[in-house]
Order: sequence, then structure tokens, then C-alpha cells
Amino acid sequence: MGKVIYSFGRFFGQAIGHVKAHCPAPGKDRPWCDQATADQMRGARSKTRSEPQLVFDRNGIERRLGPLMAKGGEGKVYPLADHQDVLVKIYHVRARNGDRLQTKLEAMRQMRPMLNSPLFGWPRLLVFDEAGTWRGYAMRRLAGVQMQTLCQPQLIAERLPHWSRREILKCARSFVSLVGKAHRNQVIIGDINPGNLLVDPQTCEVRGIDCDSYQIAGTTGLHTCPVGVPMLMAPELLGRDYSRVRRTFEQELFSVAIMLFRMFMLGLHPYSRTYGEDPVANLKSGHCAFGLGAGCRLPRGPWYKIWSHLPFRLKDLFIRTFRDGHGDPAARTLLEEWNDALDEYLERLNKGWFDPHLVPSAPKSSHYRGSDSGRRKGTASQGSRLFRKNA
Amino acid sequence: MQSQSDNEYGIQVYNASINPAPRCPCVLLLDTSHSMSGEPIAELNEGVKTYFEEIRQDDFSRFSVETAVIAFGASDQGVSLVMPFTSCARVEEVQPPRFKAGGLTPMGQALERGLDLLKKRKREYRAKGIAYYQPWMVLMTDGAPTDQWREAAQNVQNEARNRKLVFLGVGVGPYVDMPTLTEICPDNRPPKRLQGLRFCQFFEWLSQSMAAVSRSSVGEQSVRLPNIDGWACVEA
Repeated sequence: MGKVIYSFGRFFGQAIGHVKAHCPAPGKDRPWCDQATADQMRGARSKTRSEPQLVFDRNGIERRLGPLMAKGGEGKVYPLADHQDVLVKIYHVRARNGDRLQTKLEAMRQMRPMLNSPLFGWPRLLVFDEAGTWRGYAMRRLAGVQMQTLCQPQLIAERLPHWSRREILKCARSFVSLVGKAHRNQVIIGDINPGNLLVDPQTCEVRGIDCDSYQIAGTTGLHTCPVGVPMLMAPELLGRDYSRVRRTFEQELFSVAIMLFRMFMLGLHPYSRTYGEDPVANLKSGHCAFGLGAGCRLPRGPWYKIWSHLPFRLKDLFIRTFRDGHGDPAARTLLEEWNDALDEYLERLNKGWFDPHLVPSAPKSSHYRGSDSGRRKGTASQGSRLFRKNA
Repeated sequence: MQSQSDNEYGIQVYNASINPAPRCPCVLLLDTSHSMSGEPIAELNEGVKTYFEEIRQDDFSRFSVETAVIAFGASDQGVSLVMPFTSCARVEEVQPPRFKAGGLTPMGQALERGLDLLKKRKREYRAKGIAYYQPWMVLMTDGAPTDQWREAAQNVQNEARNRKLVFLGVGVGPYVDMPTLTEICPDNRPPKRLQGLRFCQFFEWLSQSMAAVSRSSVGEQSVRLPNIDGWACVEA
């Protein structure tokens, strides 16, 4: 058992040394890292007021902060001036929430499997100001482009021009294992959204950031996830005070399905529909345009073409979650089911049985050629029954 | 043109119909009447330019924010749609409008035109299945209306009360009729007065607010907007 890290010394000795060996400085071998940083920088463009310069660990060892990198509702993020691979999040005073948040972060630091996973920007070390007041925490910097990039076709064209459906699939597979890793450790991500996930453009690996909001069951009891994006939330959570809700794995499975759907559908929300309400209202009422009897209320665009080329099994898992799983959490697709369906899709895609284009040129027809054309015939007719083109 | 081998299966051409981002329509109603001549109109031009530059540098607002610009004053036309709803998704294509000062201040007409524009836009969104945020309307003036404005103001307030519109009135210069502007603005969001000619600061704030909105989720009740200290006067 490794010891819990209390000082910058141990932080650098163990974690950073290790990371550095594998992650060269931004810009050289990881050209995309500059982009991710630039994304975050844009959010931080406003005028700097009096910024903190120094942070201290529990032993009073000081470190200088680099220039502001990102800012959000709860706080600001800075790299350490002399260790760009370490980020420090400094909370706004109002976000510090008594000592409850500090207790949560302490508990998070004890969770070795999460702490040691290269997939999460997990809190590693609490930081203090000169007066010894707790101010935030330090974590490793993770590389990648924001998942948001995958939710906007134009950004894919600009930043991931080499991507095909294969990369999206690998990315989806990686996302499911990321969530699985959390769940195996009794952690619920809670606020799954395209801003909290990074994607490595080369390996397609998905990584989780902003982990301080995750729901954990630590030694000090349950620490809830106080935030969430309504567009990706299980319907029973909408309108609730997130900080008071104990989230369930089933609720997370609903968010996982929405995130996966948006990855495969280039950002389209599964509850988008013509002449309907906004996606959140549709999500709440369960009016999904995908599936039997939905009245073909599909948004205008190439969406049917994309959908028709997805394997029937995968579409079925989506529809099950969005229709049956809307009111029945037990019907939501399990991570293992996603895994199997995605593995099968990737295998068949590699065999040339599915169209690798991000936007196929035409909807899949029964004439689509492939080595399993007999089976596909059935798939195509099923698909068009489930989801007819919006005229 | 990009060769096929570079990007065999990827996405090559930008096509507005494959933009899945929820839209945030924003109508700018800008007073370009005679009294804006000289430095004010030059600063306004600079400010609007800044706004579009900021919008297109942000990954979220670039695809979400759609801005329409209506100028009132300038020339005999009175109210003119200087720019129909435009997004900055195609970075190279947006040409920020430039204004000349002149004419009266037909504010009522401008408000009606803006509301009408929004109504049509929302109808289009619904027909195409595009999600949208609560629209924004910004009214900037340095004077008093020279036409009928009460009915238009009533419509603005109804929309704002029903959470169908975020309306922001901004008074410019020493001769702005703040009491009338206050009557036009919804009660929960009284007008602000611009500090000097800080148009650029105002439009920078507006673009940051738009960025905050386009990062939020459709249906979210409130979005934290940036601080207005950079451009607004502290009213006594």
C-alpha cells in the first residue's frame, strides 16, 4: 500500500516523475495539448484581479502558481510555475462550503485505485495559503481535446480531420470503461458532460476531469455530486437539488446513454425533435423521436443517414434506455451491454461490414453491400421501421 | 481543396444543417441617430467588431450564438435590418456591420421589428428541430424615442415576464432619456448606463455572457453572467 500524499515532495517524487516520463511537455509530441489549453484559456480571458501567487502544502512547503489557465463557477485552475503537469484548483470562497468539501477531498485522496489511474484528474494534495487556510487541491494535468469537440461536426473537421467512425467507436468504448472504472470503485461521476471529459486524438482514450464533483462513498460517509447538466440527466433527477441526492448507478447509465448517443450522432441530442419542446423538456416528458411510433419528428439534417448505418443492436440499446428506461431505471442499458455491443460493432466495422464515414452519403438500404448482407437486410428494414426519414 | 486521402471518412465541408448545437439568438437594436455622430458611432463600430471577434474565438458561442443587428436612425429608412441572424461558425465569412449616424430615433419601430424577427426565428428553430436558449435583445440608445413605443414596450415586458426573452437596455451619453428606457425595460432588469464611451467593454461583456449561456444547458434556470463593472455606471 502506498502512502497518502501529503506534501509536494511526495507528489513530485511519485506521481509527477512517473507522468513526466510518459507525457512530454505540451506542444512537442502532443500538439493537441496546446489546443486543450487554449480552449480552457478562452474561458479564462477576463481581466485578472489579485491572483494568488503561492500555495503551500500541509508541511508549509511553498510552490509558485503559473498564469491562470481556466476558470469556472467554483474556482480557478493554475499550473504550477515550475511543474506544468501539475494543476492547482483554487476555490472561490463561497464554493468552499464549510469544511464538507475539504473532508470530501481528503476522502478522495485516500482512494488509491482512482488516485493511481491515469484516466482521472483525481485530487492528490490539498493546498493552503500563507495563513494556513485551505484553498483548493492539486492534481495531474491530463491531455486531450474536450469531448465537446466530438459534439460539433465543424470542430471534428478542424481538429480531428483524420477521424472516422472507427475512432468514434474506440472513444465510445474507452468512455464506457472509464465509467466502469469509477463504478467498480463505488464512484459515480454524476455530472457526465462533454466539458468534463477529454479525448486523446491519437489513442482515442477518454479521461475524466473536474473529479472533485464526483459522488464518492468514502471513509467519512457519502459525498454527493452537487452539479449536473440537465441535458444529460436522468429524468427523475431533473429539478432536484443535486447536492442532496444520492445518485444511483441507474441514473448514471441514463447519462452514459445520452453521452454515447451524442458521440455517435456527432452531437445531436436524442431528445431533439421538430415542433417539440427543447431537449430538456422532451427528456422530462419522455418524448424521444427515436423509436417506434414517435411520429418521425426528426430534426432536419443528415441524422437519419447516420442513424441508419448504426448496428441494430446498438440502436436497440439506445431506444431501450430512452423509451423503456425513461420511467424504469432498471431497463437502462448496462455498461457490460454497451461493451459487448461496441466490441461487436468495432469488429464488424474492421471487417468492412459497416460504413466508416462519419456522415455516410446515403441512408443504409437493403442493397448495402457487405459480407453479411443477408443479416443486414433484416437490420435495414428494422432500422427504417424504427426511424423513418423526416421529409 | 482537401484531398480525399487526407480525410477519407471524416467531415470535410461545413454545412449548417449539421450543426447540432442549441442556438442562442441575440438581437442588437442600435441607435444610430444623428446625435451619435462622431466619436460615439466610431466607438460603436469598434465595439460591434470586438463582439464578433470574441464570439468567433469561442468554441461554444461560435456555433450557438446567432446575432441579428437592427439599426435605427441613420438615413430615411428609419429602421433597417443591417444583419440578419448570423452565426460565426464559418469563421472567415462574418463581416461585422459598420454604421453611419443620422436621422431620428424610431425606437418603438425598432423594438417591434426585433420582436418580430425573434418570433420568426423561433418558428424556424422549432420546424427544424433546433433547440434554443432564451433569446437576448439588447437596446442601446443615446436619446429618446421619436415614435410610438408604449405598445412595443408592453410586448417586450410580456415576453420577459414569461421568460421568453432576456432584455437589456443600455443608455449612452448625457442626453439619454433614462426614465423612458426604464419604462421599456422589464422590472426585474432595469436599464444600465454606459460609462463614457465604453462600447468595447460592453460588447466584450456581452460576448462573454453569450459564451456563458452557450455553455449552459438548455432549460437551465439561471446562468451566472460576468460582472458588469467594466462598462456600467454605478447609479446613484
